[in-house]
Amino acid sequence: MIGTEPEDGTLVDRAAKAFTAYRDGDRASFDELVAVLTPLLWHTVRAQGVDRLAAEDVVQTLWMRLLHSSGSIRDPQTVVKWLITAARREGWRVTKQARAEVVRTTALFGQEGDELPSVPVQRAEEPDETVFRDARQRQLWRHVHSLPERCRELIRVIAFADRPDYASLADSLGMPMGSIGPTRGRCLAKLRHVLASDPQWEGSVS
Amino acid sequence: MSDDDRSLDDLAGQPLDDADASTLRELRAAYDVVDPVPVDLIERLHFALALDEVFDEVARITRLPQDALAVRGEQGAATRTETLTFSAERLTAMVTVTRVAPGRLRLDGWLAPPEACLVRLRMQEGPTHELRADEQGRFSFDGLAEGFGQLSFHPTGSAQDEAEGTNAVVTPLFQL
Repeated sequence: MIGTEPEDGTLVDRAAKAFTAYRDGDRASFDELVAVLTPLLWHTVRAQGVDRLAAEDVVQTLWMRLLHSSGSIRDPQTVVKWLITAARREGWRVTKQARAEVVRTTALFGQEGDELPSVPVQRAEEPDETVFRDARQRQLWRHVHSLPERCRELIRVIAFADRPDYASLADSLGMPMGSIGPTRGRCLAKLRHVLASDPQWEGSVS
Repeated sequence: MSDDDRSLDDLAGQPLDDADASTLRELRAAYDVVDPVPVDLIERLHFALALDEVFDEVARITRLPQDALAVRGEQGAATRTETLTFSAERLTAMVTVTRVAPGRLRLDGWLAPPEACLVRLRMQEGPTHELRADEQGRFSFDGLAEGFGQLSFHPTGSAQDEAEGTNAVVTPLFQL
């Protein structure tokens, strides 16, 4: 849960614990690590604009690489950072390659005079508005999507972790929140500001 | 500095509170609805990671976008083929999966550079298939059922490969 520190430790703690147990020879702990962190990784990769199918490949590749290089991670507390850094790098590479591939394929199969199909810009991916549970959820979504992209990425990722993990996750995303205590930071401040400025939004934000 | 900037700075410098936590909880629920983690992804990850073999490299999958193929392709769904490329430092494999009959698939592959190589196809539901690529680096698995599979390539060209046996390249699990 977000907000309070769970009894069995935060997401980062649980991951470090499972990773340590795996390194100490408990193979099943790697599966637990995968179950604990895959939602966070999924959203980290998707926030790079990778489509769903390719995101599955990326997430798999990350885990297989970790399995292969687990010996090189000295401090188990850094396993989340290792994965997030790799997820962002790989996600970025895949989006870049997907665009290049469409251009290349079009050049191979297209004919002179054909209009080039527009290169998909996956960041513009919009959900079907009917999927939301209610108007409030849709409203929140729209406000989050009015934020700068980097802020959206940060907020999306920390939403899948626990409050004490925010600072280390922000740091892993290359957006350090600052060293003076667990402050809100600019991105969460922006979100709070847009919600507070929306007369339709009812909630405890002010 | 405008009032807005100033109030943003103030907000940013305050400690996180329950309202932030509550908003993030709501947002998490929204993402779970809009972009859920695929239901069986974790199960598939567990299978893909349970391989017994020691590997040196994980190949990256590149899928030729279906839309791009459809530009000139007139193939019906019955014979639909899909082309995948697996790239690693050590080798590249191009693989096409063809639906030869309902529920029956064939996988044709081509390794570059061509080298003596043992190719294994591990199916999530079903047996593991194994064969040797020919001198041109070609290999072909026939009579496959639909499902998820994972390839691994074990170069056997040099005495060192044979002795060490740890230069294998594995792929992520992919749908056949």
